[in-house]
Amino acid sequence: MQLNSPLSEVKETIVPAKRSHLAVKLQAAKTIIWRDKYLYLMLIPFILWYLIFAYKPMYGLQIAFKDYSLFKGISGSPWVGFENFERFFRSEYFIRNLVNTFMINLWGLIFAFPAPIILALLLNEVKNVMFKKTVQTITYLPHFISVVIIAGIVTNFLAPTNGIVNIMIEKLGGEKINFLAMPEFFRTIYIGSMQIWKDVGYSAIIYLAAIAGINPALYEAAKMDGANRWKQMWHITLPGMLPTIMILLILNLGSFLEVGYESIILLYQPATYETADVINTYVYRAGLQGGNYEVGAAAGLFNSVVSLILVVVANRLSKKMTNIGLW
Amino acid sequence: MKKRKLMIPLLASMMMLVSGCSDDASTSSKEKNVKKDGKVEELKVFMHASNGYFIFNDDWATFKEAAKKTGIKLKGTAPKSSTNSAEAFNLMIASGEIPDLVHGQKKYLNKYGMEGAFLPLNDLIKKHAPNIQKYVKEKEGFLKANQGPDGKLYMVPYISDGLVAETYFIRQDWLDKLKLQMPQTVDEFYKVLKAFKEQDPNGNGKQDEIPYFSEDNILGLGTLWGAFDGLYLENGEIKYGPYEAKFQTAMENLSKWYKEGLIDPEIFTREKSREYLLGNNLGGASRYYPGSTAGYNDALKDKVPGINFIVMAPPENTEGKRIEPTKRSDFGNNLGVAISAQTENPEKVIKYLDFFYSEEGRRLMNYGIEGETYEIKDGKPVFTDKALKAKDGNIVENLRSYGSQVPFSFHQDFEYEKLWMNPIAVKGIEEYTKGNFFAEQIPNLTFTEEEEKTLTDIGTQITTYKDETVQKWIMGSEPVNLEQFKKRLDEMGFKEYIKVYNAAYKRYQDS
Repeated sequence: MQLNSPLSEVKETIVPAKRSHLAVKLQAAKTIIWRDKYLYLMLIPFILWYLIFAYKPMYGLQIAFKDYSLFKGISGSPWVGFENFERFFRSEYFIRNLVNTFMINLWGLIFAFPAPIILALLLNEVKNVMFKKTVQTITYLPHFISVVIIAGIVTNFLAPTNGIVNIMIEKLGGEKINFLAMPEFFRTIYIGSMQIWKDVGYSAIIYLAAIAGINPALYEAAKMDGANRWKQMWHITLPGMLPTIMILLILNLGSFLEVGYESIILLYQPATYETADVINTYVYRAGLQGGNYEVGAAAGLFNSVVSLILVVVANRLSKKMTNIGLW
Repeated sequence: MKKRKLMIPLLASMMMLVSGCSDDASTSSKEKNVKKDGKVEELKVFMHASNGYFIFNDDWATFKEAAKKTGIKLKGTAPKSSTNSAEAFNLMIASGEIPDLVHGQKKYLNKYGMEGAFLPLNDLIKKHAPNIQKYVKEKEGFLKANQGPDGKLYMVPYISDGLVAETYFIRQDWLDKLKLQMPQTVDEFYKVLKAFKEQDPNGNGKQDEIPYFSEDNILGLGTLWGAFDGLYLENGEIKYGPYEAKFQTAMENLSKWYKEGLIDPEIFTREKSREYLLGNNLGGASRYYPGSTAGYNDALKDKVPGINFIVMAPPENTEGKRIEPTKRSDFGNNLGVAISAQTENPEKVIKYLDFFYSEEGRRLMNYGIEGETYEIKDGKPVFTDKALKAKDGNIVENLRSYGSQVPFSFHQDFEYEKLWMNPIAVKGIEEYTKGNFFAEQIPNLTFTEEEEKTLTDIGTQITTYKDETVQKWIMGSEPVNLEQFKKRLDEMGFKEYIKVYNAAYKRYQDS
């Protein structure tokens, strides 16, 4: 301030004006807050939730850079720099596991992501309410079945000696196939059972809600202009769902390095490691989740950084192309 | 007024959040001091094993009985709701409040013992625990097998008795039906399996028999050609089975057996294969734990008339040896009880543990309570009818409900198994013990933390590659090529991996 006195003079003239401006703004904010006070009150538990469960644990992230001992505690454990990351990257299988993780998610994106959208569009066109509700309930129920049971069903269906699929193949004159032991089938089986069959109905709900929110006047106008059902779907329903689709897509990309490893462990075989082994399953087998929290934390941090980058990039692209974004 | 109405549920929910967080910590820190009501003192114990199958129960009659003899009553602190033992153990350690007695795995008790969570027991045992000391002196190798890398003992182990782990099994009634002799060599074994496959021993007119099946790793059969699945001892050196030349022969043969349908095509994916394959009269031979496997003879005697699934000696391998790769350890099962560094009177605690190594304590842990679960006949304990009949005749389960036969620190008595096991299993176990078919076992080695990291990092790669390749070889999707396989193992750092093992083994021998 003392050094550049000419400037401070200028400032002085501006500051009062700014202050009054700020005061007005503050006053306005106060009235708004007071007006919506109940909404803000309702917000408090969620802010607390985030503080306690999302921000406070970040303190523990430092163990990714430590030789962590449960007994010594977070602050008492010695720093080791990037050793935990090195251990995680050094494996011969790191690249394969990374690629497999990406590939499974990519397949999920191509096949499993559009499935509920298509289902919602189809359901939307169904006129018979009874039929619509029945289909919706049937597709929705598998969501509540535990992955262990689904894996059991899949294993039974695909069993080479007495599985129903192979019995059918044999009856049709084909040769029995040991699906679960062949790497080329793993992604199809995993995406088909754990993502599409299990979750298609459940995920479709959110899209159906989006469709319900489209203004009926748009359809009426389109009908007047002579648009058939296909055109209505293409030009009204789909664009109406687009914001929801884009947001879910971006969120989906955010978990691109994460795969439900529990369900993979239930379905994979050493023979299918080639396509099935992902980062999480490998870390699991290494016994790193037993007591080696530091390597787990390093893997988690790596996942988070990559996810953050993906989400930011996806959001930017989406904003540029469709004007829709998370922020 | 309106505002206040809204605030109350909000406040309540916030308080729930806060109290929910601090609840565990406060209850475990309270009453840390040993209570003194009359003569019986109370000590806290943490025991959570087998993912919740064994959680210390204050009502266990065995420990109540022990309290009468020792004047020390135990109170369990492990959360009964948890189904993850490792997690429960880690939470207890991380809380910083270590109960007087902690049950856990050797590896972790040693690790945290060296960091100061548990007391070194060597001196305590020498001074105050005559029964444990006696055992230490009698069983050479006991200390070596259980102590930490720093040469100190941090836990009093649970020691199982009996040497037999897994045995071969075969359908004697099928052999009889096809007029075949019990196979004595690997070639005869092959011929028998082939006959099981082709000559319809179950008599349903279909070739649906599955000659060999197992719930265990198929590579246990490798010893028929002198090959081992993992690490093994030979001439005082630790070797890795898949890295040895014999592995090539074993894999070629197993691949052939698999292709000819002698091995269950679903051997890698099938669960509960004994239940399904024996229950449907399809399975012919197997390798697994004798106690439970022999039990299928009783369970299935109505469903599969004439079933006689008996223990057979391992067929002579190509080198003329009979080998069963598995064996139970003489010195403990890597489980035991440690004493907290925070305990007020270590002397009392070690004396308490010493009781379970005494004749009286050992009997209590093996047979339960006299007059209730067992009685003495001709100087030997015999189970009562009550103990044998309860819980659908599952005696082990029944004894465990008393707190006996749980893996607390004590020395199991094999005689107890003989009292209830199917005679086929008892006979088989005796045959295996007498024949001493067991492969030499690698003792429980201890590693430094640095070595542990090397083993985890390289070991996981090696195991991943081995499992993957072996399945492909056996299922025939890749030809067996050991040279290439060994080259890949070298690239992964195999030499360093095996060096760590042999260094640890040398330390073990020298100590």
